Amino acid sequence: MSSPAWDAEVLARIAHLHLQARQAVAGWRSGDHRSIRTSANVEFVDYKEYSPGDSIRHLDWKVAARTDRLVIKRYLAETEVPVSLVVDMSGDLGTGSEGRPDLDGTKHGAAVSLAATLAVFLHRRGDPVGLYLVGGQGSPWSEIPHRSSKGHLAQIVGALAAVQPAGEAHLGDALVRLGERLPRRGVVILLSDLMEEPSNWGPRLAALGRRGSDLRVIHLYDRAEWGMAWKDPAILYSPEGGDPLPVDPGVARATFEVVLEEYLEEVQDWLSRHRAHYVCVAADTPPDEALASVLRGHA
Amino acid sequence: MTAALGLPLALGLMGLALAPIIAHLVRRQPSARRAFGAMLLLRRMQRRLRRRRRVHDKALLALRMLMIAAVVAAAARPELRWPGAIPEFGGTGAVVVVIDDSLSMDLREAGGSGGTLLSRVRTQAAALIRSLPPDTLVGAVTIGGNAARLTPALTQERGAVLAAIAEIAQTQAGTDLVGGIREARRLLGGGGGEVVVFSDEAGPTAVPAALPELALLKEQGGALVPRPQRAESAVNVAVVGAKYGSGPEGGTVQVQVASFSPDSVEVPCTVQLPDGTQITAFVEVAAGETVEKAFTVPRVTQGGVGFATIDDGTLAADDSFAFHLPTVGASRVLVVDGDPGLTPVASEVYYLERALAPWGSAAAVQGGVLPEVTGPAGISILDPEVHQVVFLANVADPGPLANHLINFAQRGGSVVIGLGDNVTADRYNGVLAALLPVPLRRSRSLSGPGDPGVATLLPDTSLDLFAPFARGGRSAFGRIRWSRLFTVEPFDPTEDVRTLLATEGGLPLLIERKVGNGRVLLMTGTFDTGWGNLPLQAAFMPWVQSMVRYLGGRAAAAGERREARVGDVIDVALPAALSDIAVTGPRGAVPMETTASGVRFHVDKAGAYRVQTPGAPVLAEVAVNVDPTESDVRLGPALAETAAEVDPDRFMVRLPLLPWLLWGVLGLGLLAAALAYRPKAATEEELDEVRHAS
Repeated sequence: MSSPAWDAEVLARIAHLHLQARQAVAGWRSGDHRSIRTSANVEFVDYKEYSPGDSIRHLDWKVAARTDRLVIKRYLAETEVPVSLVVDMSGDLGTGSEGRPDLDGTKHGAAVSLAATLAVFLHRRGDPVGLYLVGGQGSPWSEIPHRSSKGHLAQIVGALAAVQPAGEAHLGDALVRLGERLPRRGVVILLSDLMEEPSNWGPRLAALGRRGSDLRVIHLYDRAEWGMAWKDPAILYSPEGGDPLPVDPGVARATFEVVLEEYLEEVQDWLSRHRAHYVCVAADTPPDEALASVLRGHA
Repeated sequence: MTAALGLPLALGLMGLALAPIIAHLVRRQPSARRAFGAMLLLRRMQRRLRRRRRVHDKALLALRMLMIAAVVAAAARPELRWPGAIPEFGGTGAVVVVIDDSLSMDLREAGGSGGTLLSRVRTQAAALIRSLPPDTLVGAVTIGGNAARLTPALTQERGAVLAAIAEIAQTQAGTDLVGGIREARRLLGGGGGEVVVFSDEAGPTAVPAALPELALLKEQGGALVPRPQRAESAVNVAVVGAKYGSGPEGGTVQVQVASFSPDSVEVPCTVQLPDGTQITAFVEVAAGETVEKAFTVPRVTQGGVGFATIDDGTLAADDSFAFHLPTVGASRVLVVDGDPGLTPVASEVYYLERALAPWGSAAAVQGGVLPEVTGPAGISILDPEVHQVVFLANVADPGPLANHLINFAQRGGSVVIGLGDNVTADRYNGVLAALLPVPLRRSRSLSGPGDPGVATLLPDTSLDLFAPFARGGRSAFGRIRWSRLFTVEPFDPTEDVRTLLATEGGLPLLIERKVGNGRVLLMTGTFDTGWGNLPLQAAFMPWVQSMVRYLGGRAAAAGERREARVGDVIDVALPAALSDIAVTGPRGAVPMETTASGVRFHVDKAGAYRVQTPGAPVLAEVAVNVDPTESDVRLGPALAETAAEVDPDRFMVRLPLLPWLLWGVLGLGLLAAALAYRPKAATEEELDEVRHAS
């Protein structure tokens, strides 16, 4: 990932993010949330036969050398639980709430702010944090692997500050790619507008869940868009491409609400089926409550 | 039918019909563009509403385009034109009334209980003539059969014309519209005037055939004014054909029944044979179709004119069809061979067989005389229903036969007794006294060796037996000579016993006696060459045939058979010698005129016509039927439409479309308005649909 360190605008955003994240984290009272880490001890439990997808890191080489069989050693808890922040930076994140200040009240701003806050908080806790940007200007996929080193946080915040929404996310493909990189257990926090058919990304998310990942999804939206809060007919288009559609909001609003309701039920159905924690967040909402909910793991 | 425009240039405005498309496109393309992050949801919504929206929008667009197109079309003042208009009447100063009195005008109204079309026409024509200005010249023509003038020239004498019209009688003839218009043109003297045609215009051919005459009428300045006459329901079923042909038993009469009705019908059909036999069957005919029904003729049937008849209640003249039926089967004659002889020619039977069935027994079965030969022992059962005539040919001992023969004659059978060398007077006088016209005496030689014998007197052709020889062949009897004959006791002729033929010198040769319901003919000579040359003479065969017919059988010969249609003139060629020729038809005696070759008469009614002379078989029979095209009472090509081909301006029907278009614009406008205000309601429906789907 290229460093945006010399971009004045990016530097301003980094400062803003740091400030915003620190304020958010400082506002939380101790005891309001539990740690993502489940245990600091490593306790051997048993062996299991190797199956594709298992990390070879846990192969018992002695057994393999003596018996020619691949056996995986299983533990009760890892010492550290890596947290993966998957941030959707596709073009649709840049729409809505025109006229608002940069990073303030927009889906893009909300995604960046929430991700940065989570990174700061988790970093302070000592959890290794990884950042995966899906979509975005310049590259459809960029990643900062899990680390808990000191400069790692600055790298994450810098990346978040630099990224601009563009292109398509292809959430399904991104989740597959993420699965190839994640350790066997961990926490995956997805920040996205989820504007892709659930049938595309749902099964991939489910695969992550079956592998033991703790899934948490922050669904970002813009109140003006979901409420069609404008009067005149307009040709609506997606920055991600596709045919534009002429829409008269006065005629279409009621039907749109029904379709939206059906869509949200469909999303929640997919996520609840795989025990993913779901938080729907309007872009102009202060992040505190959403972050608390995400970190608690329940609404 | 054609369409025409009063202001064709107005169609240039048709481009306005594109205005709704332009408006539609403008409405569908808002100018503002807006990035939208939830296009996924919009596309889902679009998929749900696409079908309804497409139909809605296109229907509205089409309605608006139609509305503008209708306005533009209305501005062009369109109208539909088709031939068939009935032009108004009056004002030319000369009027010829053409009245159709053909068969189809006999169609009755009110389901058959009302007046006929002809009676209606008479009334209308009379009213029309009375309404004319006093100085108008008037003429009248009828077109049933051959067109005929009712007035020799145009006249102002209304009374005479009205009287002539009132006396028009219904005919059974066809429609001569061509001749009628020609006569009308002649009455107009090649000048202008109006020809008012009162006709039902029925049938497929009558009106189209008149096209050239219509053109000539227009050329001379005349104007046609059709006054079509239509019955409330043009329904008719007719027998349009009947023909005898080969078939099982005695043959088959194929009867064709046609329906000129809108519905299928079932009618009883009866074939009446010349002998009065009736065969009835039901015939089902589909609308507009013709079906053929076969009727089997009995093995033995009298020849003549038969009739195939139905009963449909309308047009009685075409409900019956006359057809010729030849004599079917044979008159069965039993020949009792009393002297078989050593060679064929030595037997009487040899000659009798050939005289009775000169064309063989196969032909005799179909019509004529069928001889059966038997010995004296085969006569035990004699039935007049089976055999009409018994010939005794030189039977030596008639004793065993006597009672059978007497009984046979009493019940109506006839016996011809031929004598010969085997016959003895005592035996015959004893056992056949009840049959013999006179007692026999003995056989007597009439000439010596080498002598030609005694000649036969020429017969009296006034006798029924010899009537056929009146036209020729009588003189042949003079060449029959006899060398020997049986003599009989002298007798005085009475009503029951008489001499029919004798020899020169007065010897009775053929004596007749009535016995019970039958007759007995005593032939004092032989039927072979033993006592004379009878079987070798030309008179022998027709004489024997005549005897059979005279005694109750039928001859193989028949008169001339002709077929004709009502209105035809029939010429029948006859031998010059005939006299007292008479023609009878359905109404009785038919007026005729004698021509150089025979007789000529006119047939004006369907049925059987017979040319005959008293005491002789029918010389000619004519089966007369009506013109089958007259039975088709359905609407044919209209006279007005045909006349429009030569005078289109006068006979064109014009229908302005402007009012229809304006009403159409109004209706389309209302419909478009309803659709335009529909979105709100439609959205509610769409919501329901989406809610149900989700």
